[in-house]
Amino acid sequence: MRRRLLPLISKQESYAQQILKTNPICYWPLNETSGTAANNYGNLSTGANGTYVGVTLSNALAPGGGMCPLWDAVNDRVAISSATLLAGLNTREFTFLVWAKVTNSSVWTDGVERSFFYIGYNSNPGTNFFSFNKRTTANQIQMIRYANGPASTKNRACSLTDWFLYGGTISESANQFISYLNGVGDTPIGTGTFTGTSFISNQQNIGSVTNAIGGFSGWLAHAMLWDRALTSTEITAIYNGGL
Amino acid sequence: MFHGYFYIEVLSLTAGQKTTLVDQLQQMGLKNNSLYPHERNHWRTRPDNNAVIFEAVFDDTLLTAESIKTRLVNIFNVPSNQVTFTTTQTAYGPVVTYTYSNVQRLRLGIFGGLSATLQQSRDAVLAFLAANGAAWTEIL
Repeated sequence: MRRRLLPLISKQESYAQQILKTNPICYWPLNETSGTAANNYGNLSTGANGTYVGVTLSNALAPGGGMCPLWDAVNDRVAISSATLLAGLNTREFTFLVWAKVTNSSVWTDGVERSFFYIGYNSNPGTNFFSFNKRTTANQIQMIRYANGPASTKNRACSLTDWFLYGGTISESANQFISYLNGVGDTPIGTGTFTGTSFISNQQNIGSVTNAIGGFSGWLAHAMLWDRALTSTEITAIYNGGL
Repeated sequence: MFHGYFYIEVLSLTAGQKTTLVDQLQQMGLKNNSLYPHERNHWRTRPDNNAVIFEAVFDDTLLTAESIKTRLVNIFNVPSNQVTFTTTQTAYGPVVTYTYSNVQRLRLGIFGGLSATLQQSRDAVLAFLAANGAAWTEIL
């Protein structure tokens, strides 16, 4: 009788490999242990590397394995402005996701807007930008995009003190703007038409808005950007992969 | 050596004087080539551009009231005895106010004081920011 032998070693896909299979334009694992380069492993490659400013590297275990930095809520950020990002970012078809964990529960009620991710466009601030942030209103997070003035905004309740995956998708072609929290999307709203074409200086950051204002308080890991709106199934898979 | 946070608030300096001072302070730091970003000098500017919070690993002898006075004396290019200062203790640490020609010119605050640990200094600056959020926080 022949017996079929199972492989002794099963090859397991890493979380990074899982993410990269979805072809993000930017994937910043934020897992560096030294230096100031926040390496991008997405399709825009090293031209879209970020720069660590002030964060404490390798400070906590991240979802999906590896370590991640701490943002001090005072003057820390990862600056991601680059000509490569400006050229490669599709402002009309877009997905952003990041894992986040706040320092403690009081962050949710501190009355300060704290940014997960911000990209500001054009010389007239406030008319074209993306923002994923904790609101000044207690226990709320916000996905917002100003498209030539009018805003699409999604506020959601959140007071999680463990890791959570936050982000959202924008598709002007489908006129859908959807925020996602832990793989669960909310009701779509319309998008408007984005007209931003150039970056405002210093207003492209992970964990801050500008000049370290709106600084995040806690840990961020696996910041990801795509030039398309991911499906709900894809986002759920990315969430599950980090658990 | 002091790894922590301090701030300056410009009360009455010309734009050129302010730029000179801020440029000097941005160059301070004992580990600005460190492999660890939180040890390098980095800062946050208040939206009105009249105050800055710095964090780095500093030579604490360069952050004393007298040392900052010397910088101001050089910036104003006046005799040393014409710049005076007073020090007060606040909930966030010592604050030094500098006066020249009967006008208050600059405020210096060391979050937690120069003997504070990084965490103590961070706790102090967070309390300061919480108490002064309207001035320091950009609300979108």
